[in-house]
Amino acid sequence: MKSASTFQWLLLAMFASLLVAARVALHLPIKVPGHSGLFWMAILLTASSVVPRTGAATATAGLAAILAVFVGVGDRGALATIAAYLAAGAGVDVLRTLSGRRESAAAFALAGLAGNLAKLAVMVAIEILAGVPAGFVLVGRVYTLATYSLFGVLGGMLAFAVVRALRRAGYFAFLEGRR
Amino acid sequence: MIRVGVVEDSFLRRTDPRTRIALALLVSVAVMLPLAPLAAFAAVYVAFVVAAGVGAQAWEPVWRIRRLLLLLFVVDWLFVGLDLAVVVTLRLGLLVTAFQVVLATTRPEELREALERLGMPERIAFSLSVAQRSLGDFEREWRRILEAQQARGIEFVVDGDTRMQRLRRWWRQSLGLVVPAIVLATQRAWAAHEAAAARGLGSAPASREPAPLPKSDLFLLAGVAACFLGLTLWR
Repeated sequence: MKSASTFQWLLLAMFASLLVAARVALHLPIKVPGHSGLFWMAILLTASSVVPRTGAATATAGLAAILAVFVGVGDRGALATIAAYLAAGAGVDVLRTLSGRRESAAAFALAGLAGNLAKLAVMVAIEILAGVPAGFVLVGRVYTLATYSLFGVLGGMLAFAVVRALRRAGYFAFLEGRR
Repeated sequence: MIRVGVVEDSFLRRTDPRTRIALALLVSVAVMLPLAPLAAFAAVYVAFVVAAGVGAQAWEPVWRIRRLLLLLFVVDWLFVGLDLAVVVTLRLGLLVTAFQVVLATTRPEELREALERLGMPERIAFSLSVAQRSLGDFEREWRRILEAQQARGIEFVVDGDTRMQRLRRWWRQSLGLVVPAIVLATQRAWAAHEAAAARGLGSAPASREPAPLPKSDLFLLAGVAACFLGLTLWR
């Protein structure tokens, strides 16, 4: 990400701001763990498509983490928030890189799945590191694992639909002249 | 709602933000101490937080996860023992409050300056500050897009929907929510970029000089580090 332009950094920072604002403003009526992953993965994956550089999703997530910490979003403390956000971004980036940045629903869904599960994995790791017996944590997370997976995949597919809609609307052509 | 404002009359306001970040990191590391030193550290930390006038702010995240803490305490006590229950509760409690001292005493622009002094490149710090200023606007925009959809008869929730129907409805409407938000974010990024370019961002050397920490901050850090070291060696 070192060679990214100022405009690209601004884009990623704005997407980060969108992520945090979404956490605050979008209280959607589904009380299921991991449901925020839908918008999360959609925005992270869109960011990695709009700024097609390795590490774009991690950078967006890192900036979002700093913003989230400073506005008091995230209920497990600053370190857990930063670690979970970064893990989500890294999960998305790793899968995007492994898939050769292919633009298909399956590739996006897998990246969304990886991102949301990476976020869950960090939360589980923090609980285990804090001394909660691993057995309790893992048994208690079986349902959560399923819902995080579902919303990760849905978020990835939503991102695919968003990127396709943006492409059709000429958004990427607009960006080409402004990099 | 997005939180703003800091505790102006705290003595920590007179310290460098980097010192507060270092203190928070130290507290985060201290959670790995065993029970007796951990309990002693927690007592000292609580006294410190209260003395700094940020007790209410530090308590807030603990209160938010009170059900989780209570559940873990009971389960750990029943299935393993009281020692583990206390250790886990103290560790999670300290972890969620560790950075509250920084948050309650540092303005966002001060954090940005601190991050620059800690080596964050100028344009990333600039992007972060623009993003931070845009947070309130984006929050309002998300709500506005939702309201606009509802005004056109598009609802995320309809009474009587099953969970599956809600999910399907939610999925269908999400696209109409995210696309305008992405376009809006891009417009703002471009406007900020143009304004920054007009003011010559990147053409001048970074303005932040690596200022050393004041002596009083060094004493504070040394005192806390010595306390931590003493507790680490305590067996």
